[in-house]
Amino acid sequence: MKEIQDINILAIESSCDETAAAVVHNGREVRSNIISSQIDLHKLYGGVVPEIASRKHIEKINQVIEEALKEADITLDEIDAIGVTYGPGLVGALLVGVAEAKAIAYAKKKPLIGVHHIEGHISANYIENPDLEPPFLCLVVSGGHTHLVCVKDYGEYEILGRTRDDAVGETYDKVARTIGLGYPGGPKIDRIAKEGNPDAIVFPKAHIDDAPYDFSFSGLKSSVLNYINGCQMKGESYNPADIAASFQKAAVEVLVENSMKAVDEYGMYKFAIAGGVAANSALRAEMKKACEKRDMKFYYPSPVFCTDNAAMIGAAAYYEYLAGTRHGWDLNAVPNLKLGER
Amino acid sequence: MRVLAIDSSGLTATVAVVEDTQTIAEYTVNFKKTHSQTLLPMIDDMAHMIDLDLNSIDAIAVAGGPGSFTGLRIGSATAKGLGLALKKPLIHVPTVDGLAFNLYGCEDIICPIMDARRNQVYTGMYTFTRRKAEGCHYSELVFEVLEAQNAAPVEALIERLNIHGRPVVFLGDGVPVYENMLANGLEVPYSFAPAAMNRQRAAVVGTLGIQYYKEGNFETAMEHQPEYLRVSQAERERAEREKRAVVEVRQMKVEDAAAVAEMEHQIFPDSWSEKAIMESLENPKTICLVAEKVGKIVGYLIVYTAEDEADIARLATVQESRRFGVASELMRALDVICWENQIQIILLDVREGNGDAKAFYAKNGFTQDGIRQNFYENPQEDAILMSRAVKPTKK
Repeated sequence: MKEIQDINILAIESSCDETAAAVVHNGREVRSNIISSQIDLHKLYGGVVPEIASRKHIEKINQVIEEALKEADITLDEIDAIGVTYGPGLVGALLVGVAEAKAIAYAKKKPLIGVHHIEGHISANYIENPDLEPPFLCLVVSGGHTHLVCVKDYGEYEILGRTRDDAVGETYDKVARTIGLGYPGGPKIDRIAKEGNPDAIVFPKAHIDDAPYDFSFSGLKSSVLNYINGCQMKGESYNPADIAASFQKAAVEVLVENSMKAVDEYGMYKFAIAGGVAANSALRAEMKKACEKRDMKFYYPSPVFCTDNAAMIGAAAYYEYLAGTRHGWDLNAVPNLKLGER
Repeated sequence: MRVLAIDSSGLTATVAVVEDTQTIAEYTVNFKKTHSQTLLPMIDDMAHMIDLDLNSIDAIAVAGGPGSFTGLRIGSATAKGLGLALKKPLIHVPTVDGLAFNLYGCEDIICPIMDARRNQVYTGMYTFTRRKAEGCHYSELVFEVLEAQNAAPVEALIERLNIHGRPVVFLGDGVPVYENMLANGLEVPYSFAPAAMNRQRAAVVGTLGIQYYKEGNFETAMEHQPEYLRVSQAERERAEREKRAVVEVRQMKVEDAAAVAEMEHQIFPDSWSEKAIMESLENPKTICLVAEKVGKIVGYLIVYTAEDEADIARLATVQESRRFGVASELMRALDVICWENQIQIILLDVREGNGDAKAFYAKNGFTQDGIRQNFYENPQEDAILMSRAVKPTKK
């Protein structure tokens, strides 16, 4: 028997527009983390085009995997298990990674572990924080997700709140498009907001009465669009940097407020953020402030582990591996996979 | 030689192990379940049944397209994963060729049709011809491609078949879909292949695969990708939009500052901030223009004027709109404004190493006046000074 402390996982991620592979040792030590981004391709369309994403995945996947193995200086024979994102995400995109991972695991007679994409994002926090262990609260924010999750134990999650409409990253994209910044909106708004006045315009923050941890961003989005339309109708000029800064302030405030409400209610003393929007500088700064005020530890991944990557899938797969999760050769992509479902 | 063959291009999932002159195993399923759930378990079952050591395979043959985009990718990713893990080459067998080879020995036109929706089919035309050898009765049957696989409207296919004027045998999942259209349009004798041979069969893919391999026709697992024969809908629509789109030049507004600052950030290492762009806009001595395409800013020009001179501070086009004449349109608009304001000469400086920009300005009529040494920083570089006279605007 191999020591349980010496597990190497080859992880594959292809749920959206990044083709990624990584080798992770014992869930926390990243031996390699290769990401082939398609962002320049999708910029032309103002968002991710599923068919184009899927085509690009099949074109790049072997190259990315071989690079990950090479950089980790490891052979497939020395890999203990293959981890792969099997949902949620774009079905055509997921299928490429799933079929590839299954074939590799089958040919090398290795265990196959399907990983939930959000579980991966949450687990990204383990990579750089050796002291972080459940239980903790985690806010997962990205282009497709806005979830407030209680991580009770490895692989055990309770969703406390989620968005009722648009994901926060999606809202960033829409606002960015409206003020002419283009796709992807998150980093562009973040940068231009630094030149604007966050108090120039007061945009509303939605709170939902019967669900204190749920989010809603469609109202915020509409009020930004209404503001711009109003200016145009009156023939007034507006400053996009001020809009970006004011919008960002409203979005971040509601994320922080709901998160801290949950922190207080659940008596947690560890809080983490994850997902693409977790790289947002304003969100990081405000969360840090709020956590410091409560004397709690605040965890956040480096930007490279915030964006979709395979290292986070390797981290999650490790704990699934220890828990005995194994998938069969009939593993399918599940585009709307629920967190905690096996 | 031993080949593992895979075809998941259509509704049928099929896998086989083929050796030089015989099929060792074949497993074919034409059922509702998705290929993602069936394909690898089928390979596994088949391998169990014949005690297959995967390492004994010499190559993996895969139906490389056309077909259902997702189906192709499941087969392709499975083959690529196996190839990567086993360090074996892949053999790309065109799907329609594989379908046609089902009808070995048929000396009529073999015409596979796969439903590609919207009255289109993936198709091709094939036949077998006898090549008699001297002094014996054996004669080789040669597989001939009359028309290579392609995507075509059913009407166009019918027209071509009528021109060929030979009897035709159809097969493929397009038959039940377009049977009536064929009946109405064909002027040649035609028939349909029976159930035993009218869909994808991996044994055929493997058989053709061995032929291709022996001809040196194989690739690495990394190189392999499906051949769709069709661009994605998004790409097609974008190409049409781009073709129709005209570049419109207008004055830059305060509302454009963020978009321009974003482009600055993407294009220049010493990018201007939004505030710097706002200041240029507010300065009455500047000319600030943007070029728009389908409502999106794709380029801009910022020029400082002094007396009868205009000095280009910034001229840029976003990466994806270059070589579409955006910068030329901006320069044309600048000439008009300069002419109206009695400005006579346009000046600029450009990085020594920026070949594209230098070529553009030369083509636009600028000539070199001199060099300002080490003018630029990050990286340090000489500036090439250029100028030309304002082009007169015809009234």
